[in-house]
Amino acid sequence: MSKNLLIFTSKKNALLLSAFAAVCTLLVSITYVLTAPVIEKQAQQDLLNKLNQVLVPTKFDNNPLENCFRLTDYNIFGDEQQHVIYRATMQDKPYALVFQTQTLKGYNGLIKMMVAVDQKGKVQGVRALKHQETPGLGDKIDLEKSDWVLSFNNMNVTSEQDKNWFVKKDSGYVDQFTGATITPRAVVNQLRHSILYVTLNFNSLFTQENQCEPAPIPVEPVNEPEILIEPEIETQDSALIPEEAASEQTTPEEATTEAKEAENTAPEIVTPEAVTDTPVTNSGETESKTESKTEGTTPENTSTEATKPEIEGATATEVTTPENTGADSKAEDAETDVAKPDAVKAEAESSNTENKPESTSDTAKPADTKPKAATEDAKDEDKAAKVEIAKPEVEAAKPKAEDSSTDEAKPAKAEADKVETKDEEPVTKPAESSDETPSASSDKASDKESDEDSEKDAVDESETPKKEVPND
Amino acid sequence: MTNTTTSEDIVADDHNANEDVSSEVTEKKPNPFTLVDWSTIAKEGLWKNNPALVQLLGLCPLLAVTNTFINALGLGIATMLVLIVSNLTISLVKDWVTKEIRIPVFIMIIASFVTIVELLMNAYTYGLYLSLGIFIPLIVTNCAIIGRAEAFASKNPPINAAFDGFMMGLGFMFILLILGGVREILGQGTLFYGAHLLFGEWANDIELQIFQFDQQFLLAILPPGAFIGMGFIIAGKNYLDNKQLDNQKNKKANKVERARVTTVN
Repeated sequence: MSKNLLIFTSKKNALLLSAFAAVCTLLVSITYVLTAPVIEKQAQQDLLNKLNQVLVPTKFDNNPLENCFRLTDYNIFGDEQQHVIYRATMQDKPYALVFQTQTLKGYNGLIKMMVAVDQKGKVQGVRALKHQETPGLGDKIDLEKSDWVLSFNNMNVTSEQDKNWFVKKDSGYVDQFTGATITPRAVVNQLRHSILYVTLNFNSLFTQENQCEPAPIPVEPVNEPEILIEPEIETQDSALIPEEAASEQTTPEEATTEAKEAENTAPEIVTPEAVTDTPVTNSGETESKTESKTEGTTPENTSTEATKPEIEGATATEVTTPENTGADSKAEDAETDVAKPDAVKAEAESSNTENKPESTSDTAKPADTKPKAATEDAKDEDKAAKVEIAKPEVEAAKPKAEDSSTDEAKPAKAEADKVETKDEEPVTKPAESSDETPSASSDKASDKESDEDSEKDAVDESETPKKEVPND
Repeated sequence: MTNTTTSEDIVADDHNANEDVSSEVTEKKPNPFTLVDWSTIAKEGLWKNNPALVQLLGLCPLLAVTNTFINALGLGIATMLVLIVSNLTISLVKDWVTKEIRIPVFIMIIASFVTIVELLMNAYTYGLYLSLGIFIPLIVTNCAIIGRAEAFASKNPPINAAFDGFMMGLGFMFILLILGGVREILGQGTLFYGAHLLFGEWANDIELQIFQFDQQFLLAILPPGAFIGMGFIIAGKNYLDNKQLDNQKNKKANKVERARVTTVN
């Protein structure tokens, strides 16, 4: 009897407990559902406020929240996470990039900052978003406590040894606070590095594909797989892969024109004007395209004779698609959207095979330069050498990027920009494998190597604060 | 009428200790509404059994967020809300909850309400939510709340429990505000700094600059300042209590003397 009673009571208890759990969960869920839109709005508002703080309000007229892209780059963000970079434009012309950066070299934990840099590399504004620096000493990096961060406004970073971007203790010109050196040093060093990097790569960053489209996100659930798949392909290459893949796929499979169209229109919604523009801007470069394509296709047991007409066919479809898409672009979008996942997967597979050898060959070059860049951060002596190496690498990318920016001016529409980036990057890439996009992509590849070096750095630098603790 | 039954049930259900307390309350005043001994509960919460000064519960948020008056007020209100609602709920469900599972049920209830409060603060007082940070979810672990649930709400009718929650919350907030105000004045020379985070933009005007420092008084801003301030407040409370005791003794002594005098005369 007592045993039965025990079982009965424990059963009852279990039921009771689960009932309470269910009710509590229900209550919390209801509150969550009710407050979620308000919270989302608050967070957006908060972000917008921060953006408006670092940007000069009169110099841009778009909503930066609707013009952004995601990127993983240690040089900019100071960590290996994916971050969002916002773009501010004035009448569709580039004005500034807004990015977050962070450093662990402060006195107490992570310091997160938000920085806006304009096209000429001028700092528009810097704010400390989050930090736990000593109140009264290191926390003067916070605008609420002191206007120290305003001293960076309108400054340029010219090089890694720019004296304007060192604290006075490191024989620079930046004011350190009384009793605190480590905090401003950490902030200034991180700012100098990331701002210089963003300045040198401004144009290539600005032509990244927009990943923060305004409103119509909730309407089309079909788009979601596309968005999910794209990040798997490296972001820099994502735009160029479809076309090359398309040319490859057509050779073995004799794909129908529908498929071609689908692949051509797959990466973005192509507006007719934009596509008709691109042949004009790329007219000189199509030669290199054909060359590159023959290179790309020859390994696949196809004769050059066979490839050439197909290339013509491919370019032809480019020209013809505007008619189709122009006629019923929206109607077709739906179809192409359905076709996308398969197409993109196939592209991803085929592009993997193609990209791998390239990326490995690419890594060889930056592998020489990059780790040096990382290790030389610590020592002043090596800095000169580093900048010499680092600069040419990035500057080689520069003229290309500028080309793209001048090309941008013609279409003058943001949508057109996307198409151009899509069309141009393939051109630059196969022609000279070690330029712009490859260098950017190889950055990632070499990041792993540079990580090891940066770990060494971290060890070096973690030692220095210990020595200097009395200063703070 | 339902209340009378519940109050009887308490006596029946109360297997645990403290039968004296509940039986005292129920036996003295059978009517459920007069049975609420408001003044006793208020005195207990605000002074005699103040959660911060006497029970010394919830010290972690107390020390961490009292760097400004408004932070203290925000956390005080949040804690008070959770105390009231959780006390009320626990008192309502106490008849169904068996002894074995009461602690998990109490914690579940408290955690749910804290989460709800957190979501509401996130939605409607975003700035304050950011500035209080981790200490809002940490209200769950504020022993003052589970302490009141176990010691009072699970043994008393809902109205009493809710009022007890209110008074305990008020007592807790009272100490938070004193500490927050003193630390803010000493540390930054301001009062009501950041009031707009809680009350909206109009409140920017009520921010006071009492005096200006070149250098902030760090001891007051950092947690040690809260500890020291807390020590002074407790000492002050004990001093007042002792004084009152002395007064009472003196009065008694005086009365006795007079009595003697009168008898002699």
